[in-house]
Amino acid sequence: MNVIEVKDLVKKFGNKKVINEINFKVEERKIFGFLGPSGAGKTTLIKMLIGEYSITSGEAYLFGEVPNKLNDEITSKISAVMDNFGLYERLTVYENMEVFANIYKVDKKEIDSILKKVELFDAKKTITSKLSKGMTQRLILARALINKPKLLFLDEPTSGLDPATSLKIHNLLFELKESGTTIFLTTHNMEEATKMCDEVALLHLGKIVEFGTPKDICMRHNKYNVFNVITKDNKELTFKSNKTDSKKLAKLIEDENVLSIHSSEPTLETVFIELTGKELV
Amino acid sequence: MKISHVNAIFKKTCLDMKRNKRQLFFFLLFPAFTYLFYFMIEDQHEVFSVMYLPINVMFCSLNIMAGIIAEEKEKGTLRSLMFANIKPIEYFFGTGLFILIATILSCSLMVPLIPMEGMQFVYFYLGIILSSICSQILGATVGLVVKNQMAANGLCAPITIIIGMLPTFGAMNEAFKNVSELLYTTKFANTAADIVYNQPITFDWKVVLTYIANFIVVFVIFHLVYKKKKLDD
Ligand SMILES: Nc1ncnc2c1ncn2[C@@H]1O[C@H](COP(=O)(O)OP(=O)(O)O)[C@@H](O)[C@H]1O
Ligand SMILES: [Mg+2]
Repeated sequence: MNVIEVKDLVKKFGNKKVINEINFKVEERKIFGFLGPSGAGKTTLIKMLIGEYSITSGEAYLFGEVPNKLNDEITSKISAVMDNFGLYERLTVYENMEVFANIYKVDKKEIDSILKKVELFDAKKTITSKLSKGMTQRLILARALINKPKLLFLDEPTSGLDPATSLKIHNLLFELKESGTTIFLTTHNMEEATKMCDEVALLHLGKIVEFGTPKDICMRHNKYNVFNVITKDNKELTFKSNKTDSKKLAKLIEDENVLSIHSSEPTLETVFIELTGKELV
Repeated sequence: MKISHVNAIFKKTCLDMKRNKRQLFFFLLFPAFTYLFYFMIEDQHEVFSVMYLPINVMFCSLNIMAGIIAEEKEKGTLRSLMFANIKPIEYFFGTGLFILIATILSCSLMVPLIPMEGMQFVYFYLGIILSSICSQILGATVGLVVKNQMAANGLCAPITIIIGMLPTFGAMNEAFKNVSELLYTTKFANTAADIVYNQPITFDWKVVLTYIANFIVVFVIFHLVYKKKKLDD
């Protein structure tokens, strides 16, 4: 089943088309990544999907229903981690979780187990305004998990975080996927996308310019198709994939003169730059 | 409307206000004034409870409601509540219940200075409840319009002065009286005066109609503002 389905979706602010006729589907239990530089329209897209922004034209469905007409049952299966979803600063970590546990009528015991997962259990009595940025981000994520979402939206979940915190969040997302959650995330970090996502869409000026698994995208753009070899006497050689070059390469390997071989397919990052002429910042 | 949602918002507000010293201070401000003037001035000092009761209800209910909503908008917590499917009406009832209780407690602080018995208590608390509800709706409207807490305070001050003080001006000046007689604050001030000066209170349909009319007016204003705000992206 498709958890998210989008057809010819358009969002205009005044005359400015921020999302321009995009189409995609997200299957159950997948991590789907939307990539693009800042200003590409990633946040706008999520806001349309969660019903915060109206849809100018086109169609969008979550679990087969229109975003701002979801019934209680579907709403309670969806969570989102957004920049503009605040926390109660005067309340403790635990109390912030409690507010939403009360709303979703979730057993209070769940709170501790989620706080342990995001490694905030020891800080549960800390006043939220005193948390570091990474802890705040993890609390926002923890809060989004309280209703055991089947679909989780994450808008740049690791942006501005240190590598250790990012890694914790990545591992948690993999765990969630294993337990059956579909994840829709945006990022401008191509490494993160390559590591995390089953499928990605590259967004540029409101249009999807490339789509597929990170590996497929990179292979499609592998124009040069060459191997870079470093020999034991520290020479860097390049071989094409043709008969003469293969023979030369085979000879080197036979002579045990090869230190390393690298294929030369591009990274998502270079594909993106090639497609848009733009650096990702 | 889900009672569990209202309950969750009510609990949240209690927790948060417990730590919000600045807002709690509002609930003590006018009772403190009343005591201060009551003991400083010997002659006709009952007038202060008559004067400050309606203002206190306005001040507590309007300011706190506007302040809470403005802060939740500013900090983005309102958005996360709405995303969790809290309906505006559930939010208003949960928050309003807290404010109503706090307003009643605040006004009760003045009770030792007002000799009351029997039905007077009923009219006293009924007046507080009805005035508080009208003021809360006005406060919610202010909260919707403003961008942040600072702006909320800025807008609440003149409204409190106009609607809360008009009963006092109306009692002194005929021109003001025509306007002030239409306001719920004046009806409540009259009730308070009757109680304080131990005049007999009789049930009056005109008073009831004034409360109802005021309720409808503030509700319509709120509804129009809400609809307009909702259309903005
Ligand atoms: N509420 C809004 N009103 C007008 N323009 C907006 C609004 N929200 C976003 N935009 C514009 O839409 C474009 C995409 O923004 P955004 O979705 O935030 O990009 P991203 O999340 O990819 O960085 C930007 O040019 C931004 O200025
Ligand atoms: Mg963004």
